[in-house]
Amino acid sequence: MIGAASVQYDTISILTLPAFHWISVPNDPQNSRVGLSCNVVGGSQVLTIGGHDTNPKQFGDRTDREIIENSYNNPDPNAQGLAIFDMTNLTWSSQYTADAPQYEQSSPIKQFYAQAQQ
Amino acid sequence: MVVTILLATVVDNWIYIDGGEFSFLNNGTPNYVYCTDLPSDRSSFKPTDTSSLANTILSIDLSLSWTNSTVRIQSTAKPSNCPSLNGPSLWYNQEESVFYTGFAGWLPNFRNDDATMDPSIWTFEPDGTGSGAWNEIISSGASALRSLNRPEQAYQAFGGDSAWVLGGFDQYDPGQYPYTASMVHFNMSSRTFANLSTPTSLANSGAMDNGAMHYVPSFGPQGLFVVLGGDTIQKPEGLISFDTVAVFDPVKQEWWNQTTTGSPPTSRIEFCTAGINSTNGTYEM
Repeated sequence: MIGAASVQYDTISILTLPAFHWISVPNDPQNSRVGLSCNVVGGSQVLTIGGHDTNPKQFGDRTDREIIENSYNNPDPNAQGLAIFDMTNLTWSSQYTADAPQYEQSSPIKQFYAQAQQ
Repeated sequence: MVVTILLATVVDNWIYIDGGEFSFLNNGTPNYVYCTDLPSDRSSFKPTDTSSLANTILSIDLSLSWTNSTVRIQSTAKPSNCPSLNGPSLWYNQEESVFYTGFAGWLPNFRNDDATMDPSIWTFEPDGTGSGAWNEIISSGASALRSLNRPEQAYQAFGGDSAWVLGGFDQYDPGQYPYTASMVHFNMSSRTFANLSTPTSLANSGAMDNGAMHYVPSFGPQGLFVVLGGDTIQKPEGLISFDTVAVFDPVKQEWWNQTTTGSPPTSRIEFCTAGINSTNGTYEM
């Protein structure tokens, strides 16, 4: 859904295989976004691109067009719609690093497999 | 600026971005740029800036470090009849170093309900500089596409030499239930399509949309596809819980439902997934 009745999320979850176990990542919710893309781009980095915040700041939407256009009126706080998430450290950055170190399991993942073996 | 409903794929130190819509402020006035224009007889709405429709593929160089505010996003024009859509297909065949696009997707959000386009299949061959060459390889009238309609909001993934499109919404369906309970397989080597039935064990027997299908290359003989989230439209409408994910083996073409443990995210649509092998033999997505 879009518009004032929609429910949106700014959360990160990890599904680890082969266990098929979900781990929720602590994420300071800043801006919910839908319709974004995310890709692994080297080392432990994920590049997120775009997404819009469909909670319109203006109420009184009437037409579909107004609702949709309002959702495009909330500027993306990420420059050019780009942000980098590090899967090893579970942190966000505005910087992409070429030739970055290889991904290693983050602490919550390591902890899960360690205790699963006990 | 806001950009949405795009799709991106990483190949050889470049990330390629296709489709979607975006808006930007021009002297305080919002401009809305849609992925493609509509024939004037099919839409009562015209984009505010028809000179800059997003009929391009974008790319970002990953061989150098950069900051989001200053990185240069490169733009390559598409031929005028090459589809630019929301939620597009962008499949990559590593063996031939070629992208395939044009099958799935939907028109700008302001379309009339009956505005639609037949799929056509195009290849994009990257040239290593962020740009590349376009070719139409299956036109919309070709027999290979005759029995297939363009799905919207479907689950899509590719791996090896295959692309898979699950569920979605069929604009052409004249009935009241246009949601597609099947999966389309595109073989990128033979460039042929096949329609596969989907099991009743899938949510709404596979008539589902707006979730993710994620290729996991490191498990199974030729990788596995994990299908998660999204929703089904069959009454009662329902978001698909992440408590269970569906798994597809592309070699045996078999499905099974996998119960998960831990803290699944709240059910939702229009999210994204990215995954990677760890140094410990696990895969995190």
